Amino acid sequence: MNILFILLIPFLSALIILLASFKLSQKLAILSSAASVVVIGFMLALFGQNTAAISSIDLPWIASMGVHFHIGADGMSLLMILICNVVALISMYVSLGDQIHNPKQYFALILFMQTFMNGVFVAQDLFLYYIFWELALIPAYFLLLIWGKGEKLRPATIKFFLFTLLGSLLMLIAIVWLGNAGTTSDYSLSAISGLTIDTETQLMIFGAFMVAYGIKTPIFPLHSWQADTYTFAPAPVTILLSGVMSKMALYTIIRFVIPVVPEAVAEYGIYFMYAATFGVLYASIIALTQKDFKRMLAYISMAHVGLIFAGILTYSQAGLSGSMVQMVAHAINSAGLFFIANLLFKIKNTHDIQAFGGLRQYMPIFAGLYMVTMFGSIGVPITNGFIGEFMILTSLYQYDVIVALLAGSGVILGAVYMLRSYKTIMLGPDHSTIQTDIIGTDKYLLYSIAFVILFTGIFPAWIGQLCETSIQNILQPYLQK
Amino acid sequence: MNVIILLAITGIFSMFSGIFKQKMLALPVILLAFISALVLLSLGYLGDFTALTNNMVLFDAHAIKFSMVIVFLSIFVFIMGQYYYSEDIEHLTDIFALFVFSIVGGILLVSFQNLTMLFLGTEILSIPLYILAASNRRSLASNEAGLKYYLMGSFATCFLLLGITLIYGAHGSFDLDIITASITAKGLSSLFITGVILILCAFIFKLSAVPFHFWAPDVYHGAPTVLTAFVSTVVKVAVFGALLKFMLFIGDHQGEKWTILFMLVIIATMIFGNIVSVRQTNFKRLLAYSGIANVGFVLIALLAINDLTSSYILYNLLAYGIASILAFSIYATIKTNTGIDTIEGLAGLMANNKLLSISLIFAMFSFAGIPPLAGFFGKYFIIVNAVNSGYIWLSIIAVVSSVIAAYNYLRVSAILVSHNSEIAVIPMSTLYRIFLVACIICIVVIGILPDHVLGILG
Repeated sequence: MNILFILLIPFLSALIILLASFKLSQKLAILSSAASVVVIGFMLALFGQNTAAISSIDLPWIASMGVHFHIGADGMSLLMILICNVVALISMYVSLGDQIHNPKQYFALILFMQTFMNGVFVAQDLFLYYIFWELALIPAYFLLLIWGKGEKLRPATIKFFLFTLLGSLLMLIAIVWLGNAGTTSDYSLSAISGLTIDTETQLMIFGAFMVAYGIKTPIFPLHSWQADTYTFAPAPVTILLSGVMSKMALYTIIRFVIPVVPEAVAEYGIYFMYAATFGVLYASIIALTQKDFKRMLAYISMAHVGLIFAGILTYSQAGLSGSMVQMVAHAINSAGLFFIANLLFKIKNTHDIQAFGGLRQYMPIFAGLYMVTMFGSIGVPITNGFIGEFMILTSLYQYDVIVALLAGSGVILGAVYMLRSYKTIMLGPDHSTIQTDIIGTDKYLLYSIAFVILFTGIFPAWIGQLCETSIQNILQPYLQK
Repeated sequence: MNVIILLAITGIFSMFSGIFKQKMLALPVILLAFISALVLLSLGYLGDFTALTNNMVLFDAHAIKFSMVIVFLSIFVFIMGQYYYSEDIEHLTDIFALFVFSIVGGILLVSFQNLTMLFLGTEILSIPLYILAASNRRSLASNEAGLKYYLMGSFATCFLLLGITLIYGAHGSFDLDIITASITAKGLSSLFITGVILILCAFIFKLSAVPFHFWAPDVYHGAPTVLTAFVSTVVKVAVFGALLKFMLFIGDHQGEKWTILFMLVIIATMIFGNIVSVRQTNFKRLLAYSGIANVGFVLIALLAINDLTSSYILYNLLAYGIASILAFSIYATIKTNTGIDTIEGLAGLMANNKLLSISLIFAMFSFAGIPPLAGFFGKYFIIVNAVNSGYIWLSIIAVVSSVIAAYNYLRVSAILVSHNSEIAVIPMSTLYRIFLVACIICIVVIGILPDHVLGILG
């Protein structure tokens, strides 16, 4: 089965939606997202039987620069595409509940974003990767601007774009250097991984990449765009941003950075780990003080991705596998949490935590599902957040005790802020006027999210198996040295 | 040379079509002439006029490529112009004729082989522009622009003439070949160097690069928008063509002197253009400053001249030119229909004018250098070439200044989709719609197929 499908389905659907009638757009968008998920599920099944079943494409594009349109997938890419498409489907479903103006443009933009994010995960040529990376930003930018809400929406969106653009340009410089380092211009991953680069140059390339991915993930101190962007964006877009877009950066570190500059990662990765794990603690403390539920979730998301960022830089089998598991978990959990924030917003028209109280008596199902999602985010055993967090913390401890301590205290604080907000919203005195539980699509969606959280918590092994070969391939060259 | 004759006749025809009340004929004939000129240029039917012109004009590959881009961009300017001038039909054919004459001057300029021709080309290019800048007679700003442009242009001409005179004084000829031979025999003299610096000053003036930029914002702002688009695209191509030729000519004799001069100009131009544009509230002025900044960017290519320099410069100017013409024409359309000329005034354009807004967004993102639009590779080639030639710090300044520039363009694109206000539906002719779509297609195709475009230009 050809990997190109995964780009074509959302892309063509977006074009069709733009041309089709106004009423059909929602149905078409859901249909196309569901089709993407089915196709990727089918691909995973094929891949499980025979790893060569997914065929790649390699066409020359800009011959004078040695750029190819080269896409392909291994287990790790497929896993990321799975996350991307599942989260996109969730995001579409969440959009259904909101009364969105201009649904045609809205769904088309989400599908374009999905296409380009898929492109990032399958690109095997660094230049092509860069182009997908930049393209994914543009739909996000307009989704924020047109459908976002907030007083300072426009400056915040421009800040988000400029921050990531600055990072991308640094990354582009590194990519161009790598592409021209060999005898001929060649941006393919295999050629670039084969380069021997002296340590000083590696450090510069590593620095450029890390700033770019530090901004996108984001880690401390490059995070200042994130809270506003996540808060002002409409819930479905926040789900995509935190669920998938931050994973683009994390995935790339595993896929490109580690194989290309292994010595720099081993030698200087520790500084970024300090920054990332300090960010975990920092974001957790800020989350404690937030009164706005969505803004709190933004900081929680930052704490979680910071932990994954540090886990990847440990450069160990446990750290990398743990990070992959945690990426899957974080994608689902943050999608669930932002969805819950959206449901809460619909009840009281506010994100202020203090405005809520005693919801549980009227909404037992919502309260129960919220709890499962929250436990997933905290990392309670048998939920999906546990195993990944455990593996990452273990690998961090083996790597450096201070890092592990910083990260660990962040994780503990995570439980505090989640439980506190749960207490205020669900328990306590009753301020509520709504007397009905969640119904219809919302209910089934939240049920499915809770199911996935428990399922991947109880059976996490498939994620590790899927990525095992990819991770070994990535670690192999370094371990041999 | 055939092309020059063809276009000159077209210009005269356009003038006479006004006299004989056949205005409607002018535009089709001019467009036809441009297309035939493109065909002649691409097939190489240029005729051998070397003896006839006394080796003053040389149609080598360099001249052909630059002429092609000049004519190609002119087609876009003319389609945009037809729309813009449709109300002021009074002197339409005269205006067209002046544009065509100016284009002839541009083609002479890029094909000069003799310093006299450099002067004549500059003047044939510029004098119609002075008139055109003031062509909106009822507008005070337009009159101011015309006068300012004329006075400042005359200064530049003085520099140019003095420079040419000094070079003549040093080497006794206007002919580039003879001067080169004379330099080889006699060596460099301070007279020659002073002359070159004066000529470079004139070029910098014509390009509106810092420190000779001060006329540009006022002229760009006051002049009719079509002329502004023409000056910031077609004229830049012509002047860069001549400048590159001149740099190639002095190339063997260049030392640290030119490089440092150029680096200062480049850094000042990029930083000035981009930082000042952050504070602009008028959309047309923003575009004017972004044009200044882009000139600084293209000048980087002249620091490290190699076989590919001309194609990189042309690629950038083509990419920038189409986006720029598109943006100016949208500005003009909005201005004539609603009177809005500020950036804030564009708020809510998206609500009722989808095609206009989307076109403008494409133009802005191409300016900002978002891949895979044309503007990205336009900047990319120049930066990579500079890095490969060792101008690392200059490249970093260029990258940083293009992030500042991106802020300006994002500002515009963000305002378009604002919900707070709405702009009523702006009527557009079918021709204009086609023009918008054609521009978008050009921006995308030039960006996606850089190899093919470079192949045509290289």
